[in-house]
Amino acid sequence: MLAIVVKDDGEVVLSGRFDASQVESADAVFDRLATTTRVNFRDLDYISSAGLGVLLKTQKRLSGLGHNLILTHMNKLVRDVFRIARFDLVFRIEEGT
Amino acid sequence: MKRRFTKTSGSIADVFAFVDESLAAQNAGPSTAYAVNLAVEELFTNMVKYSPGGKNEVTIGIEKNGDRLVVTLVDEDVEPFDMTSRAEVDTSKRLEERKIGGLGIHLVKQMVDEFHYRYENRSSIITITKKLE
Repeated sequence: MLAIVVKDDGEVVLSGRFDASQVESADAVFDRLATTTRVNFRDLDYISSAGLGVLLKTQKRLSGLGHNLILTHMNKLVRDVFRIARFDLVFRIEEGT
Repeated sequence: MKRRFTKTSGSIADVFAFVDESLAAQNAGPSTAYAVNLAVEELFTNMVKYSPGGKNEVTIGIEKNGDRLVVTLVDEDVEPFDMTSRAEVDTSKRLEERKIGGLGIHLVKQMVDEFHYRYENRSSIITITKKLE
């Protein structure tokens, strides 16, 4: 399961597993973002290419508006997936958990 | 352990439950568990998307062989579909040019130790191995 909470200050907090079964519910949240947004990965245990696809699509759309996703607090295993995908070149990732 | 799953995206939760059960039985550590979860998800969802029909079932096996886990996915009565030979994605491209297609297989190739395909008796058989850590 993936839980997505949008906090009062606009930060998006992810927890659980961001896999192929969660794309629809994640799109419902990410498609509504319209400004630079911090996405907190602290409690996210897992992401696959399906989850990366949602983030890439959102980043492309926001970047066209002059905005960005800022990804924070990734655990090491999730960070490794971003590195292997070379998504560290595409996203602003704040280091440190 | 070995189990059959209907070849549909609705089976994903059951596939993960089986993978988690198998990994726990083999005392797989977090990095092995992550790689096997990811590989099975990417391969299974690719079969759902690009290799429809046939028996419409995928049999997934997860066994220990020495210090390695051997994971097999068997898709029966289908045309050949070799994911291992898919062109490499260009991960050096800029944001605007990056695409998600092919990325799953790129991740699998990088995260497991071996990734093989064979086609026998109209079955696509994928085998991956991952060192137990």
